[in-house]
Amino acid sequence: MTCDQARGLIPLYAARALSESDGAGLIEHVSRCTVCQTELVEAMQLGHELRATFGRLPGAPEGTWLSVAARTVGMPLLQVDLGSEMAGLSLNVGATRTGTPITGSLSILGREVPVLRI
Amino acid sequence: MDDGQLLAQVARGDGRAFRDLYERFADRVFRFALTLLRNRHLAEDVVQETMVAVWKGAGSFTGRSRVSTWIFGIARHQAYRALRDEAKGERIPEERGEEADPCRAVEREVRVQRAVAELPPEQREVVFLAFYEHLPYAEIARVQGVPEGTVKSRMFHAKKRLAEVLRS
Ligand SMILES: [Zn+2]
Repeated sequence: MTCDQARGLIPLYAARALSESDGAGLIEHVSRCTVCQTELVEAMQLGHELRATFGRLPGAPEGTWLSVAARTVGMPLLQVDLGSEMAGLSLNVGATRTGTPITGSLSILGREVPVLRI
Repeated sequence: MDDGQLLAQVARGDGRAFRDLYERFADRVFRFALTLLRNRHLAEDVVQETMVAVWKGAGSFTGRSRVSTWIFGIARHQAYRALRDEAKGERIPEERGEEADPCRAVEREVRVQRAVAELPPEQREVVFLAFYEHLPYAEIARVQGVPEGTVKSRMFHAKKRLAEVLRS
């Protein structure tokens, strides 16, 4: 592998998007070439910082799902989630407007038990 | 269950599978759109339009690319539509509020964020898709609809620019 080829692969390696065989070839080159070694260390540092930066951006707002659901699977009319207050017991009642049956389920320690079907 | 299997269930009209797929992608698509548009309202619109298109088009997914490539391709299309609207005169107010909380983030991280924000949009995309989504060049090329060489050169310029800014 030439230095030019190695330089092409370094950003991919830093992005963890390189195949194993290409990665092995790159590491082989870098172990013998200090110039590319410096490049690789810099790229990996940058990659780490970029991942952290993107990861810190906010996620999609809470209500987005409701808007999507209304245009696809049907709007949940009612959502009851008793959640963790009841130690692994949660009641989830979903009702939709688009012909999907109205269902309810009781989740006990993660196991869903249907309790309602209209 | 991998993304492809989940998408196949969505194609059969499985609402629960769609919800799962939404959970897997909504935040990632939102961050991608935010990186491109720097506006939360528009980024939320992009998530909505993208996921509705995924629901409607799940059956047309051929499996020749990764599911994430397909979804980010749709998201990109939606984001650029918003950018074109801006060019037509509907100004998108840029938000400055996306910078990390200075109490939590060290100064260096704020600089990384600013440096990314200053890249041209196509380079910002490449950086996001490579470093955050771990997509290889060939998949990024599919998302952007350009040859792989173009992606490589965008990455080269982005990396050079980021390194310069961060070194100074
Ligand atoms: Zn070298």
